[in-house]
Amino acid sequence: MGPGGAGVGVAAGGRDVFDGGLRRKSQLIMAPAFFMMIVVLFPMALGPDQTVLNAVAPGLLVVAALLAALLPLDTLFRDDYNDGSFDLLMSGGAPLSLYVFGKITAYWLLTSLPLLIAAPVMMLVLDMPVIMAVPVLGALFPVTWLLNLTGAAGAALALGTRPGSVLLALLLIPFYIPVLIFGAAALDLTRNGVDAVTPMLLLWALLALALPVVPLVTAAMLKGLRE
Amino acid sequence: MNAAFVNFFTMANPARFRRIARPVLWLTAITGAVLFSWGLYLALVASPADYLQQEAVRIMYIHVPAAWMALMAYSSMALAALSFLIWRHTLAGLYIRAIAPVGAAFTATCLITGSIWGRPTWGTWWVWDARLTSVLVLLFLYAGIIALADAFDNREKGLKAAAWLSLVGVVNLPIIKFSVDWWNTLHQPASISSFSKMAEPAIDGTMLTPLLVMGGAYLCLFIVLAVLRTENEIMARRIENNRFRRAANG
Repeated sequence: MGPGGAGVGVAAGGRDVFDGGLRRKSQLIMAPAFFMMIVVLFPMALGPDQTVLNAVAPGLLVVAALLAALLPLDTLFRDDYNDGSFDLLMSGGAPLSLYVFGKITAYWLLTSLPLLIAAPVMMLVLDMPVIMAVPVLGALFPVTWLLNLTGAAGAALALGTRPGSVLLALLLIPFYIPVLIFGAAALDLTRNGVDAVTPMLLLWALLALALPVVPLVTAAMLKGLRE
Repeated sequence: MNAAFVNFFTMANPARFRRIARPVLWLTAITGAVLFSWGLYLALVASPADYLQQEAVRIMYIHVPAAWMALMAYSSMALAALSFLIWRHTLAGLYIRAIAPVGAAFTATCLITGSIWGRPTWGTWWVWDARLTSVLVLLFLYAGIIALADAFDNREKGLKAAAWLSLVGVVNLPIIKFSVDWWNTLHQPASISSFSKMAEPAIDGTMLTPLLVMGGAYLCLFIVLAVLRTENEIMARRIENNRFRRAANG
């Protein structure tokens, strides 16, 4: 299980970016498209009043990011599980946690990065001042990472269940709630011109904690459920 | 290995569990019935109405023990999950499936009675207070565990996944416990926090006694439900095994 094994793990995760991801473009464009659709629906439902839109904008952006993050999760480990590459990985001795980390990184690049690029445009839709792009992106970056990390753990648990159920959402919502609260708070406080540093720092601290821990826990779950 | 541990391991055998379960069941059922009649009499008739809340305070005797049991059910489930994942105790796995709906029911009771209590005293059915929100999250967790345990074609796998989920969900327990101290929102802080404070509790003895009796009654109810449902799980597993065996033998 040397550095060579680590390379195998990351490459297996990264395969999705270049191979699976690009081949199934339509599936992966779904997440950012879904994010934009939700955000666009709200001005239509609430009316174009700027004060109303400004009041809901921070929470709305985070909720939309959360729902969009749920969409592609079902497929995160499913293909590797079904086509047998999973068994190869386990028997090959590559560290499973690095494989998980590679997968999460790949999915973040494919589904969350476009979402971050779309976010400033969505700020215009919600009538937010352009200068807000800095805190919005500063908060959405850790938020999307945390959503993907937590989601990976959930996807590992639900691996082998019937696809397309609401099970994954049911499992993950309790664990998404802290991310939602701190994410929305980081945006909301900036909007009111109050100190946004505390929730923002909490988000980044959560990310610093989750980044090493979640791949290890997820790998342990995958291993444990495989036996 | 000390005596407590030996006992713990022998209990993990389903056959031995069933032999011990019967007397325990009778004992707790009778004790529970006595405690419930005594506690409800104290709570609804003998205890005084509150100076501020008047008769509405009596909801406390249903609400607070339900909250205790909701947390206790979760803690016991998480312990069972741990021993299921580490030592693969068959019984511990069955206990997770058995107790999750019970815990969910206690949590729902806590939330519903709290809501009914909140209307006359707080003036609202629901507020997004830290305590209320974290207990709602507990209900979601229970729902997730119940759903996950049933989502697999392979029973064992469902139990394992549910065990993992209930272990990870333990992070919510301290948040519930300390939510009233960390966030200064509407829900009042704990009146009965530790045995050292029991000498001078924040509530009067005329209300503390019925509350503790009701707590005991709820505990008996919890044990009765836990034992009955675990027995049910054992029998369901046995029926399934028999069916497989019969199918295999043609």
